Amino acid sequence: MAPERWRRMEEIFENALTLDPGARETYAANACGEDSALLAEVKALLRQDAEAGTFIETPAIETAGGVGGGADPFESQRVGAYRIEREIGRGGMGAVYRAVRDDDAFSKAVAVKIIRPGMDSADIIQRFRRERRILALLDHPFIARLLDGGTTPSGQPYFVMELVHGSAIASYCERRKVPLRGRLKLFLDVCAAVAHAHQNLIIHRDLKPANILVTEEGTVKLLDFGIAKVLQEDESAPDQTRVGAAAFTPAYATPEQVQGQPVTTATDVYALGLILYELLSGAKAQNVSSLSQADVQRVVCERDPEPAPGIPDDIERIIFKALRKEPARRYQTVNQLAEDVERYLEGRPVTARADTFFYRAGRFVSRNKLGVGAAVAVVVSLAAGVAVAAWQARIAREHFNSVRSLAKSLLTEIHPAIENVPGSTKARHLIVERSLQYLDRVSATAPDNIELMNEMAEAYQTIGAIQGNRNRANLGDYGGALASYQKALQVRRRIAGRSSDPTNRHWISMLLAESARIYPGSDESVLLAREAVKEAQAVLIAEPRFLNTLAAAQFGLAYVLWTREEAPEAIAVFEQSLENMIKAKRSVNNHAVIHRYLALIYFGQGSLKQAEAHYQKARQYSEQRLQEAPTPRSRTDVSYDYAGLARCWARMGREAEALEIALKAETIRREVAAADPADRRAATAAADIDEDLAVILARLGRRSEAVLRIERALAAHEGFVRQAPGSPEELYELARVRTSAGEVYGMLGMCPKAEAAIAGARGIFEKQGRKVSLAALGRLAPCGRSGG
Amino acid sequence: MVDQTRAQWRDRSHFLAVAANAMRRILVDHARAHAAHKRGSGFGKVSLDDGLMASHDRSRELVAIDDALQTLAQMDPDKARLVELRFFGGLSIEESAEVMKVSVATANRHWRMAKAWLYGQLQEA
Repeated sequence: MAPERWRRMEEIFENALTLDPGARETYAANACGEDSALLAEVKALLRQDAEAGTFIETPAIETAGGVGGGADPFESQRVGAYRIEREIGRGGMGAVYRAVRDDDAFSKAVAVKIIRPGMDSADIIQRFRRERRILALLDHPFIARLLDGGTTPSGQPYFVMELVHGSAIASYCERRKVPLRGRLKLFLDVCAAVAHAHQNLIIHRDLKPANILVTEEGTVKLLDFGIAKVLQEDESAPDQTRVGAAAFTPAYATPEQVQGQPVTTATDVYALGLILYELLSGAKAQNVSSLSQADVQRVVCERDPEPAPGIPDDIERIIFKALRKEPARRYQTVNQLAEDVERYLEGRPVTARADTFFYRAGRFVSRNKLGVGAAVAVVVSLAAGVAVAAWQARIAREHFNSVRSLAKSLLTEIHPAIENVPGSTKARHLIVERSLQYLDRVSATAPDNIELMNEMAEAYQTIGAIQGNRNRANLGDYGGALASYQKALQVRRRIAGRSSDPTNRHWISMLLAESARIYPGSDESVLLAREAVKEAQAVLIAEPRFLNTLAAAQFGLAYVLWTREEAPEAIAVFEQSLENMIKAKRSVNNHAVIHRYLALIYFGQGSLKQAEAHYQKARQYSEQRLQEAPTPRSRTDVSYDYAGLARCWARMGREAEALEIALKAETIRREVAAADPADRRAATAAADIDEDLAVILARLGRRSEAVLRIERALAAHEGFVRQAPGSPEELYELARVRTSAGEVYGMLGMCPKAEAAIAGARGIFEKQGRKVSLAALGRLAPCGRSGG
Repeated sequence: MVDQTRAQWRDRSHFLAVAANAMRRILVDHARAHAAHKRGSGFGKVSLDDGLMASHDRSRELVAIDDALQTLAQMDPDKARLVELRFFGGLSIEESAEVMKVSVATANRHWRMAKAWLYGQLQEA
């Protein structure tokens, strides 16, 4: 088309858009006059404008390569018991399909939501199982029921929901020209549904107009209840900064979600405020048009929505009260919000009127305070952006062969350079995220070359370790680590399909064992660990020199079994691992570690004699090692065995000896910790000896000393949890110390404190879905049981 | 690597524009390579897994958008550039307006027309 003609078309098109939809074609016909070809072009353009919807609204990078997911592969596929019929929608998290139960004579239609690849499935499914019981409680006429969930054959999580025939609330109102009062009444129905969920202690977290349908009969149906929670990271770790699988929609995000703070019922109140604004004004309250973290942060945390024409003053006040940036200043419940809307409908004054002015004045001050931090964040992300852009430019030239330089420069040069820079967490997240995106894209083009595949697997392993290897500084992104390990596994399995290289199979076994250790308490972890052992056994048949692999895999399995308190099998597997380690001539240090675990298990069972015997063996090894090499590590190891013996003796009635050796352990640990304040292992050990001493002192009746010690131990572990948010291991340790606190307070007759400590411990155990044996609960020293 | 390239950016806008263009080349090259790769018979049938990882149709769509953008650039370079910034560069409308030194309202008008036109081109393709 000639440029002049294009300009003419643009002018008519833009003028037409300023008119009501009904008047546009008439205007265009007049404006085009005799030029019927131009009219046809303009009409087509107007039609396309109406149809284009979200076309190209999502940046290409978000859906490219491994993270997009075409729709077609699922059509006419089965997912669980359901047969997919067709796609009915798609969004950031994945696509929704209409499906029918395949084995059902009545073939009732359902909606199946398949989560896009890239969100870590094992983790999601584990959380889904944990949540399912709670979600089953949600039975409300305005909530679409969540029926089922699972993983597709390719490992993607899916959710099955009641299929609702309706349209999104905003377009329903638009199409039917629902008047203000009608919109407010629909909104009250939405509130009723959300309030019902809140009464069942379920938060939606991803409320938005697209998630709220209205049927032709005018019934509101909320979709996706509970899914956001399942898709989100563990909320017990409030202050983590994660870029990973946060399941919110930027335009409907709340300040606390953007800042990674805890999500509460006030989060849904905020989202309801956004929805009410949009329902009444037709515009989004938060105009987030790019997905850059800085942009989302700025809009959500700093900017108040524009006052919109057409919204009555009192309703605007209600909206603004729901949209307070600080959760505590919003309506405290959804019912309060709904009541204020009802007050408006009844012509009574609304409560939101009170403090609007002071609120806005206060906001101005805090907004300018925020500015400083935000500027810093932009600089960090921009610097990382430059690196990424430069790196991407190189990829454009070298394309996929550059996987080597990628892995090397990003992961082995840039990341280590900033790894220990304070405040570099965001940039490190970005690097991990970008490396993953790139690797995913490269892996999609399926290199047919074993050497390349090996490098890719190694890169995924490196990323996984940066995300969540407990033995080094990590990002605490355990879900992400698991996903990366799984990707490494996929590549290694492909290699295994073509080559019987035992080293590759060694890695398969180790990746399985490493994955199992990430969430040690779960059912899946046991399956993974068993698979690791099986794989190691297979490697061993081919290559006897891989006995170490088997010993390590067995150690992993035994460890997982131990965390699940499956004592008899854990003992057997630890013993096999020990036997193989001796045969493979691994360092005596590993022997000591296993004896220590065995001692712990026997101790947990109350078999004090066996526990003592294993601690004595471990002590032999560790004292021998200490003589050979008196390092901080070997000194701490000896102290573990001293402390273990102290615990045994205290319970065998040998309190005086116990106190003596525990004090020896304490001296060692305090010296080691003082020598290197940055050594986390030493700091933990120093805190733990307080716990042991508290128990001994309580048994000796030395009340004030015992209380002082146990409180110090509790405070230290609470600090560790704050420092490593998201670490299930730290939480578990805290629960363990709380258990001891229950025992100590119980012995001292401090019943309310004992009960609170025990409740706190139990809360964590249950949240982690851990099996807590009766033996462990028995040790919780119920009050009234003296001395024990 | 960071230091070598930083000097080349005149300002933030320039950086964003260059980054958007780089992203476009990377994504489209990748999509083209991928589409070509799949046409070759080396892989035989596409399994469920392969199909998802590769997002086959998405590749073709990206290539088609790139082609259409080249046509658009001949008639209306500003609109083509805006699509590059937003769709390939991931910029917001405000950021794009800043880079293109136009008002947000103008950027919004450009965007609406470009989107409608591109949508039509892809329907035909």
